[in-house]
Amino acid sequence: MDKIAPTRAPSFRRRLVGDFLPPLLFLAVALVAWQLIAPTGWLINPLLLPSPGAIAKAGWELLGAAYLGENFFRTVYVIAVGFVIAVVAGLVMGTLMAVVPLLRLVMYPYIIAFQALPKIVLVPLFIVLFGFGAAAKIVTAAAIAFFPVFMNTMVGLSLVDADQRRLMESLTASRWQVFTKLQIPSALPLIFAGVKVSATYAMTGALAAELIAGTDIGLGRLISTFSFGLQMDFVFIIVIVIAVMAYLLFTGMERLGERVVFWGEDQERGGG
Amino acid sequence: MISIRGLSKLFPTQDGTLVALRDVNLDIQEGGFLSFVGPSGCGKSTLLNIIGGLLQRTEGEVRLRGEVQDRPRRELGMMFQAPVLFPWRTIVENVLLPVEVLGLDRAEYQRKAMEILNLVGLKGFERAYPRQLSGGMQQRAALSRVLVYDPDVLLLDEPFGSLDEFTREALNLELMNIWSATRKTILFVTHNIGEAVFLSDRIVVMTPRPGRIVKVVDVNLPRPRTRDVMHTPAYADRVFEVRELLGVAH
Repeated sequence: MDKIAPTRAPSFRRRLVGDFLPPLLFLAVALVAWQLIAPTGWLINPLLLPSPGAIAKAGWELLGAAYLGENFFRTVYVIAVGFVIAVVAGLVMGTLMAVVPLLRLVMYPYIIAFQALPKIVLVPLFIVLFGFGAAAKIVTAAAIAFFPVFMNTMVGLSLVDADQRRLMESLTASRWQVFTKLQIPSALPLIFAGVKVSATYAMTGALAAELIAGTDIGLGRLISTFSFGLQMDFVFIIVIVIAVMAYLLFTGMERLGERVVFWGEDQERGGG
Repeated sequence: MISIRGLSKLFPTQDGTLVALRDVNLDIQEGGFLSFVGPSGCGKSTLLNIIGGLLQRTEGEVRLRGEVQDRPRRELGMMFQAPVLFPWRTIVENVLLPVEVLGLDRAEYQRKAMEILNLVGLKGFERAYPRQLSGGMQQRAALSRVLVYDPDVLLLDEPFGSLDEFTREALNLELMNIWSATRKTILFVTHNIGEAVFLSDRIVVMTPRPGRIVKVVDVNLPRPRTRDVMHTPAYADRVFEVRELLGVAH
């Protein structure tokens, strides 16, 4: 071990073998085992937990059905609109709370109380207020996704490094200059962490509202319908579609975050 | 240029009041290099921050060219122990921060920023981000940032205190060259006696509890100075004198 090899980024092939092969292999083994066990009825009733083959067949069938797309895009729409409303409202409210101390003093207890409330219980209320269409679900998604952005914006704008503030002060910076040149960039890592969490919350909110509503369209609605019909193979397909969607959403936000907050979260501020 | 009369600063603490500065009187001439030396808690940084207008005094007054000085001003450039660079800005963008804040012409100062970065040995790092630079290079960038907008007075609060001996010495030499070329008024806080003697025209010797000035020592070493000054008897005498005043064992 007396020779040190130069470190190089692992090649794509190496990554394929090193990073992707083990989990894929595990999945293959698990699926095969499941497929072999399922028809015997041993362990699990195939009616409740269908075999991978049956699920794949259902998937093929479902992909051919026109209503899948309709339901899918409705849910994507609800998540997207709810998320955007949550981010905009969270940024605006969080900023107001950070820069207007009086507002924070007056509103803070109520906001904490609303945050603690499981928003799911409001779904029936939202349906009464906004009807059985997309609106009630969008409001649910937005209500749940609001808090991470809101809280992190408020905290991020308030937590500014004392030395950096002193520097701005020594340069005779105005309050507006401190806000735009120091507070906003300082807050960005925390704000973006909040946005990431909000994205997954918006998804949870949208699907939960669709499940609870039990009418109208959407992937949540499809799950409840198929469950009631004991079509578990179809339920699994919808779950897989949602899982893939969640994965793409999360990694997409992660990539975006790396671009926006390119200087990393562990900012070097130096001691002193 | 700056006159300080009967200046006191009290900090309320859990167990009573801390007298950070008591009855400080001092006159600072234009164009001189003045150091404040003393152990931790002698109030040297507090004094610098009051002069810079970042801290309010409790009693007495500070005047800058006859005018009451109690707020940050464009004429006073401050530099701290930490580089305090913004991690989201490149080095040149950090250096141009004062230009933006003061609303100066960015295009004109862009060239000047490049020149200064070249002068302090950061050529080629203009587009780098602070985290890519060593501590010494970050402090060079901080020095460039205070030089770029050409304030009349530089208030330097232990600017090289967190750097290693070699880097610190190199930066002291550069600071001296810059001072020789520009003849700015420099107020330099340090707890390093040798450094103070090497750089200064005058040294304000301070002791703690309560923070006060013991004596102002005239250095009287010929200029321009090089490293060789540190091997002369006159240099050793000054260092000895300051140590005596501080009661440091030797």
